Amino acid sequence: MNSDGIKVSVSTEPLNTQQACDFAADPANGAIDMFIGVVRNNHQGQSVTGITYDVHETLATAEFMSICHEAQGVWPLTRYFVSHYQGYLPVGGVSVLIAVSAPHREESFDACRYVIEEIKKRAPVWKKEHYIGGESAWLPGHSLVTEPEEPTVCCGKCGAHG
Amino acid sequence: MKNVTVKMRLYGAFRKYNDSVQLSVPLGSSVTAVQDALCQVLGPQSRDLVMDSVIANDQIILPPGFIIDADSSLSILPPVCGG
Repeated sequence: MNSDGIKVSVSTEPLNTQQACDFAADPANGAIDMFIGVVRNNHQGQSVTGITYDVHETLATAEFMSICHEAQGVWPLTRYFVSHYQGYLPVGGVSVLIAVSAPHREESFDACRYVIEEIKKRAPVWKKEHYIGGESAWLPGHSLVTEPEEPTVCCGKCGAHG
Repeated sequence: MKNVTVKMRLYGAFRKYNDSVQLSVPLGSSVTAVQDALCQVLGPQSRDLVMDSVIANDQIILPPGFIIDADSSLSILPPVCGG
């Protein structure tokens, strides 16, 4: 999925850092910051052999795009490449790749950090860890359930709104 | 009362049950009622996870009061942990 200065995807192919850099690059931007998420070999005392990533592709790509648009609103002139892997990855495999270019380094760091933090909280992606010995477990995460908003017009009787 | 069919795609921790399940709910049911129907099919042990999850179509997360007025293909999204 492409938009002005934004390219996002879900991929079953190995993620390519050069492709990310090439898309983010812009002659007017003097900095490219890249976040590469990789599968590590341990988690909470357990030896991990790999992770299976489950993704709702349609909603995930839409959410990636939405997050990048938000970031562009905060840090103008930035460009974004976001790709998340879907399927099984062994230790060392690249699970997510984010490249952000900006006129100066500070915006590229801040925008890249924003994108990965929001992806972790909002994107419909799930991890199943595989352990030495053959066991596996889905990891807990951030619930997407939101509290209902308070009514903007008070009933005048409840006393709950000061 | 007429019933509608909801194909519910399962993700993450729900995959242990299947990739999808088919539900039959009364026409005009809310999303909350669909969650209850899903608990009936998956079993009572699923309730905590179902209630900590959201229901979505392919465009948006549906609010609890959203009314199902036709056969639908929906997804249940458990807590997320990408990256």
